[in-house]
Amino acid sequence: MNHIFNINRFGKLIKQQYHLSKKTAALTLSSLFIVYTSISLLVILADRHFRADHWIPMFIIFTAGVAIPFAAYGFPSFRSKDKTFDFILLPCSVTEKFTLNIIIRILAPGLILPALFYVSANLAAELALWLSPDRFLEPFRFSILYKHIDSDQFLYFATAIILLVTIIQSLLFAGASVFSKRPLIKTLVIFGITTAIVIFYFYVIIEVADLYKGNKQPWFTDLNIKETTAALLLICIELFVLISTWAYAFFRVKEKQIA
Amino acid sequence: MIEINNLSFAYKKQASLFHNLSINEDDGQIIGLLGKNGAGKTTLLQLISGLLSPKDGQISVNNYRPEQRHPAFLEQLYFVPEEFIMPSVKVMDFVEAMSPFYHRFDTTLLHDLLKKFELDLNKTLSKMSHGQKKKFRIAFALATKCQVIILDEPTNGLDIPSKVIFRQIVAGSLEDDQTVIISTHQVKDVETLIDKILLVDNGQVIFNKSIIDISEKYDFKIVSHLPSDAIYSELNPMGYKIVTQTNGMSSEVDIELLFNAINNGITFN
Amino acid sequence: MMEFKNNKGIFQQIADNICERILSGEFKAGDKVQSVRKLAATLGVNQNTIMRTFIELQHNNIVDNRRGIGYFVTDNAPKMIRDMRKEEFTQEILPAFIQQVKLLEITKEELEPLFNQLKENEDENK
Repeated sequence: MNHIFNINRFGKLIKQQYHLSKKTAALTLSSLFIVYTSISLLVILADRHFRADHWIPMFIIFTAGVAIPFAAYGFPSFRSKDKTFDFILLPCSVTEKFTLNIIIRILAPGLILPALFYVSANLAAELALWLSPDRFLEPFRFSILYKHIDSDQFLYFATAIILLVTIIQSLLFAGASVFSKRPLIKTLVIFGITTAIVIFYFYVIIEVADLYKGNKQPWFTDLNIKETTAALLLICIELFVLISTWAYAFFRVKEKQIA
Repeated sequence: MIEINNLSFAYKKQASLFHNLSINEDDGQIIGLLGKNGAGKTTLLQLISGLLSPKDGQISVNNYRPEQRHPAFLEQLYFVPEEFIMPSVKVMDFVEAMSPFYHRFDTTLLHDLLKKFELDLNKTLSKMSHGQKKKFRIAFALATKCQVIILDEPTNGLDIPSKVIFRQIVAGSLEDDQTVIISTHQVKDVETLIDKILLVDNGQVIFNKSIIDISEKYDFKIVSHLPSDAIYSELNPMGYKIVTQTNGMSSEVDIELLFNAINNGITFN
Repeated sequence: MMEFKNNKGIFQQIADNICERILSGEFKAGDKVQSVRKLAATLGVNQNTIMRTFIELQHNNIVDNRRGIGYFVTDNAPKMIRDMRKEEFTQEILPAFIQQVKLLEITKEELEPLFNQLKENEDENK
């Protein structure tokens, strides 16, 4: 097992990452903070009656706008042959290198970006109230994001949503393990083509094959299952997709050759 | 210990580069890997280090299969490629980040070598000139004390004084169990440094001998008239550069002359 | 046929250099010669080649090897070296020299510096 994952070696890998990218990371986070805060402030100032719900699209655009390209440009070493070289020869196992990239490119943004948005949004709100105290302004709270979810099935749906977000990040991340140049665009194109094929398939079976002929219902419109079961099923499917995506990316990394 | 048995390799959609190539090298040598352009020197080095996987045959380095990229194997290998990109961090930060992976890393030696190469620990790596980056990577490689050190065209981009220092530090920093493979076109730069010549051509190792062996069996000299016993000769401003069987005294091996002789089909045994 | 360049092997060159330094008095009997590694580092020459040099010198009783400590100049090293050099001189350099003298029709007067040196050597040995 020692050659698959060794915690001591993984620690060295994290330290290595810290020494090599502490400056870039600090610079990126502080510029993001400034951009988040100033854009939030502009949006608030443009609206004299700023309700809590207004935060939701901002939150999604701000976090996804960063998390998506960040995941899609995972494995930064694969962008050039020379760096791929050093990546492969670094004395760590593929599992360790892969785990580090999952943490940095998928998990860390999932925690850091919402937190950064929270701080920026509230700072912007304070600034707006200081500039013009007589405006209506509801501050950003994380509860805004999930108050629309049916409280009975809250845990299931929250899990399903978080998994969905992770899957989107992971698919882009897997794209980064395949494409060396322009991974974001290429992965999105593949996404687009796959989606188009799926839609076309349903179009064919529903419209062209006319499944609804004579009041007959196709099987998938008549699944008599409970909401909880449906949610669980969804979570299972999501987990399956997530694990397959990671497994695919893992093998791409493992088999990487210097071309 | 580097063992290669019947190695075959070809790049995608290309003619085969190696076919049934075999090598068996003991530890503790400095091996000069020579060959014409496109003979596959770099590819062979990349196969030995696991960057590429053989199509057929086995490679074993210190009893590991390189293509499996076992961390314990990678800890014992340091490869300085001909071209590389350095991160934009200071020398110190790079050393702090990378040295813990190599458990025999010798920091004192590194500082000593950097001083010899006149490199500053506070300098940012990405802002260095190509030659300086190269000198840093070579110094770092030697400081890792890895059992296998691979230097691909190490003297390319080095100025003349640096080439002298390069020879001195490589000759003076090695332990008995370390093997260094130097691939080069600049034979003169490493002539006194290597103790073995490995020549690849047409997908095969066509020559594999120690310098001492050659120097005891063959004479390399410059003469005014071409003697009848010359095995190989080349015109020279003074007459001819020739290779003959030795008369007992060992002579300095002219690797360039040897290389040309072999490429002209002369066999040495 | 004339040979312009017949280089001795590198280890031979290094051995010659060490002998030269012993003759000149830089290394005295009992002195430790630089270590293999040090010599390799100064000359930029493979350690195995240097080893080879020392084995050759040891074989000729010019140095001896004290296990784990290094190589030391033997007491009669200067004599050994002189004997070896004399042999080389009488067998190789002198015949070639004589041949040149013949070829260039050198006269006694032209070789006067040589005779002076020979006389000096004789006086010293008295």
